[in-house]
Amino acid sequence: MEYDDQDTFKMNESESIYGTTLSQESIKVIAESIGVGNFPDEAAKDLAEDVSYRLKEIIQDAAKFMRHGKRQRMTTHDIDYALKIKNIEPTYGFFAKDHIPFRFASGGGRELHFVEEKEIDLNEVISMSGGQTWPKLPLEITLRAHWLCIDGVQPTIPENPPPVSKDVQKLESVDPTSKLSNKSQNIGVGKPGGGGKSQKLRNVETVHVKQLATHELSVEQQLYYKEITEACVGSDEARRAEALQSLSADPGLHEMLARMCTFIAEGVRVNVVQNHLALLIYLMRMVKALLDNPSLYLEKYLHELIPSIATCIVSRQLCMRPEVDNHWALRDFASRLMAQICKNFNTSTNNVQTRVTRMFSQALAKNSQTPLASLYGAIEGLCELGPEVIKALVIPKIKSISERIESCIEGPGLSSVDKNGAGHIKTLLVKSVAPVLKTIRSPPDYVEDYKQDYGYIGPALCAAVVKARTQPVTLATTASTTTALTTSQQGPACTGKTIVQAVTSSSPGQQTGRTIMLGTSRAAGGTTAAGGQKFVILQSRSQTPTATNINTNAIQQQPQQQQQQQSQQQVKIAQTNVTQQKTHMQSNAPKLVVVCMSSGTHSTTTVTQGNIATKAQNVFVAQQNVECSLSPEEEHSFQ
Amino acid sequence: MDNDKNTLLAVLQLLRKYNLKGTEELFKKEANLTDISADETQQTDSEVNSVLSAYKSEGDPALYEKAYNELKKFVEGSLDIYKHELGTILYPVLVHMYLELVYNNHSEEAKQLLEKFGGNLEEYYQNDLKRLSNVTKREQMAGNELTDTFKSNQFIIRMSRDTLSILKRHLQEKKQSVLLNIIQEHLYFDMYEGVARNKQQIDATSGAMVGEATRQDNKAKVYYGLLKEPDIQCMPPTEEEEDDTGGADGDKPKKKKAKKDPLFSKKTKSDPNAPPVGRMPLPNLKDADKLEKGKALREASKRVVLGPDTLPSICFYTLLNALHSVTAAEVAEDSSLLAIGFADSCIKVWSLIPQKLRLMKTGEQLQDIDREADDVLVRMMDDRTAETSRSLFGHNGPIYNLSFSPDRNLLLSCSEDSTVRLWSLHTWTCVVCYKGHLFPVWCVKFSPHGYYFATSSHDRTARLWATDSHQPLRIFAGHYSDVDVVQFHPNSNYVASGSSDMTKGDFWPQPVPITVF
Repeated sequence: MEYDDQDTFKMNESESIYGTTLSQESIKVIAESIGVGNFPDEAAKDLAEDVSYRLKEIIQDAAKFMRHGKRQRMTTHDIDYALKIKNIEPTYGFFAKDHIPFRFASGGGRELHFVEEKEIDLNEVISMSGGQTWPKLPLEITLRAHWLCIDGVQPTIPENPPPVSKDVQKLESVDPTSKLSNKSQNIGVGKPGGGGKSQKLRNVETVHVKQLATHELSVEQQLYYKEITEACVGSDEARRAEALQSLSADPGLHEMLARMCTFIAEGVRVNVVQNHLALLIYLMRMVKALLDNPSLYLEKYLHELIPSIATCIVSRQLCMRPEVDNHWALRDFASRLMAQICKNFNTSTNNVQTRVTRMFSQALAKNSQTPLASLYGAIEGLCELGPEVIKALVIPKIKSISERIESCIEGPGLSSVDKNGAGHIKTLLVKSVAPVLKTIRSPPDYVEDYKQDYGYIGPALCAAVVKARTQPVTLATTASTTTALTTSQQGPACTGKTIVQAVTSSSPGQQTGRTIMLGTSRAAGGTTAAGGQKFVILQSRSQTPTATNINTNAIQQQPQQQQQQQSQQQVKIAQTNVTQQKTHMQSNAPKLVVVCMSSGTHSTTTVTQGNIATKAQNVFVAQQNVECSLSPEEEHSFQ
Repeated sequence: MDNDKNTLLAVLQLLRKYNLKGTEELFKKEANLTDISADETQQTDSEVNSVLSAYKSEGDPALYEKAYNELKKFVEGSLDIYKHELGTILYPVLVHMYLELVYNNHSEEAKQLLEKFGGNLEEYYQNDLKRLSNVTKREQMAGNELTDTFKSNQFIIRMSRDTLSILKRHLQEKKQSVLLNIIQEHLYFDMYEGVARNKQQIDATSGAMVGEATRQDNKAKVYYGLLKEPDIQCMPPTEEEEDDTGGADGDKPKKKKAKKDPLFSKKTKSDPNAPPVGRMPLPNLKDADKLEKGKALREASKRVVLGPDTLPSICFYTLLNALHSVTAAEVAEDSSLLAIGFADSCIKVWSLIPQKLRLMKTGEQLQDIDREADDVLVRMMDDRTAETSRSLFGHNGPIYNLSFSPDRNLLLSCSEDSTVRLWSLHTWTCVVCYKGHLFPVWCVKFSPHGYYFATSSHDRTARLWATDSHQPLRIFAGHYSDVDVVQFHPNSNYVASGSSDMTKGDFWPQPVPITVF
């Protein structure tokens, strides 16, 4: 009907002014449902027309209520009010979640339909109040004020739309001349004091200006840049969380994006040489935050970011003490970033994915010369790119790799570093190749076959494939998508390492983007892994702060206190390990693992997520003992 | 077939009635009705009449499309200066053709006609055409608001003498009885001397459900000038400007301009178009009001004129967690208060300034206050009750509109429960519940001088009320559909109402003197 004026006009152009009417068949079905069989055609036709007319009339009136309610969507209330003004009894029962079962009673010649109401035991209600199952109160309606515009300039705050939309940024990166042609439109936006007359003048002069966009930063932006970069690599974890949060959510950062990328690139270059693992991790987290920012388009700066990330994946040495420090986690994290970049920015012109894949596969090709750490990085980098890449590039190489591993693990007199590295590669291969193997090999899995095909690593692979086949379907699907289990590098044979198992929703699109937020807990709900040294914080991220977040903040207080107690112990360990490193390393708080769940839009998905989440937690607890006993000292690396 | 037979029978009976035996025999033979018994042909007189009258107005359904098509071609082929004025005839003709076809049970033809030509008409008619298209059966025409309006009112078309004569010549040439009937019965031509109007002029006034307003309608003298500002002598000395002139307090920006501009200041001294002061009895200003007015004036004088050099600053207020339940919002004139009406019949008022919302003290406490103190108004309030937002409960349906009184002490709200409520913003309670409208009230507005307020409702009336009476002072009836909005003229002497029947700018003069019952 007339929901929207423009719609009406459109309808007139394209389709009939007469909408649909109920069909005779519908009327017959309705008649049958109330026990009138053999409804004559003529009657059905007349009824259909009349009912359609009455319905349209009612909907027209309901549209009035919708418009006066300042809404675009008609609700059942509107229909009720429309019925009311026509003096018709409104239809009730739209608001119950379930079908309301009417009960029927008759007696004394009278018939009665009624809804049965249960008696409520008030004592029970009172005892339940405030408990777990108690429904949460809806949030109170609050008023929030912000400046949409100050003296004609829109301030770049999260509430406002970004001054330059992502599409425009994309257009600019594809076609730089477009910026010059419509420069006058968006210039000066977001910069106080900019815009206006001076800009117009400049535009007149700039006929011959070269096509490089200048990035002038206002004083405020310079301050912001300084604060953010300091916080990101500084010692204060809370501040870093805030800074990363700002990077991943604030609109209007695009003007300083070039500086940020340069900062990251330079930072990686310097710190790889100096083997500052922690700083490298911080920088990668900055990359992650920038990637996550919905209003930024990074394509223009990939030439700076990709080499930096690649360095963090395949560099020969990333830390002072390769035998104890957990540089593997950094490689994993960076690999995921790389995969995310490939997914987001691969176009036919830049061929990002092809080039990245080639880089890794070349490293794999000469595996006899590559150091084990780099080999690990290359494999991990390829594995993150998806099952197809694994099938095409990793599986053919497994045999030669496993020869190398065998010589490292079984061979005598080799350093523990090599042994450790070979162990990691083995676990990695078993973990990420097995799901793919499961799909390309047919069921009878013989250890001999595997050994023949894949050499030393064969038996382990065989076991993993067999296990994958026997596992229930839900778990199998999680495992088969390589990206789903984001960080856990180890299979059942745990070698001791941090495990951050992110459980995500089943759509692969979100997984790479959202799964892991290392230590960036902004408002997190908490569950503590009892007695352990770490905290799993299950956070369901929703767009608006919900009641859950607020309520559970209180719960989180407790774990933080525990954290305090443990931090002493932790710091001690850290000190023994990182004495040479900068001081800010030592004051780090204990590990904070955040399992981040991007909450879907449908309530049903959330339920299933909840289930998976508990499973993950179980796995997590089971592995915890092993981890703690083996290398608690590695845990500082993620802070 | 059945219908045809009926018609034939009716003719037969007519022949009998006039005793035309020979023709009857012939007719019987020709129509193959020889086997029909006498009593079967005995139809009641009324049936005969209805069939015949239908015959009279009906004609061949195929004729309608042809007639309309010819009319359309004629309009399109006429000279450019007359074209647009002639075009105004198309919509009412189409509507009445449609209704006639529907009335005579030619639904299919009616649908075809509307489908074919409806889309070509002006955009502002499309909504009504859409509503019209719902009606496809004769039975549905009864009780339908839209068709009733069309049936019982003539569609008014303003035309210059030349255009009208061209149209008449065309109609006489063609002799389309269908067209002539419609034009005679349902159209009213309001002729005027002078040149035909162009498209813009026509678009500006057309679009209403019953055509344009006749010239006669807008003849009454309108006092559109602003009221003379009452002397504000108790002004604080800082206010040195000539305050005896200027507009009403509800219209500060205009007045400020008037003051700055020497051209205007002369005029405003004695506005010839202003209504006489006593035309509308207005409440006397209290001292507090005068102070308030002075403050508003001073603030207005500080106002910066927006332009390319001084761009505006905008503060944006967002309601969180409201979940589609907000149905009305109103900000007070000085943007110190924000009232929000919700679908769950609750009203919330927020203070937008640091000063919080306070309750008035209780009766006993009020007696202790020194009534001569300067800040007696502040002392009346209880500081312990300060809150940033307060809720008002009382309605029984969604709130559709809110209006603050000019002195911000009162708030009016109107709701689906067909009542209007007056709330005191001192005690934060409902003071009066005005019952009178029969259907949901869409809009409520305080007059710029306070005391009076106007409401509009689904019952097709707008009403004028005074705050101290529970019955309306005036009921403005005349709209053909819901009255969606009302607004006061800044001089409080007129109320304008807008309706879903697309008539806008109805001006309801408030006659003098209004006696308060």
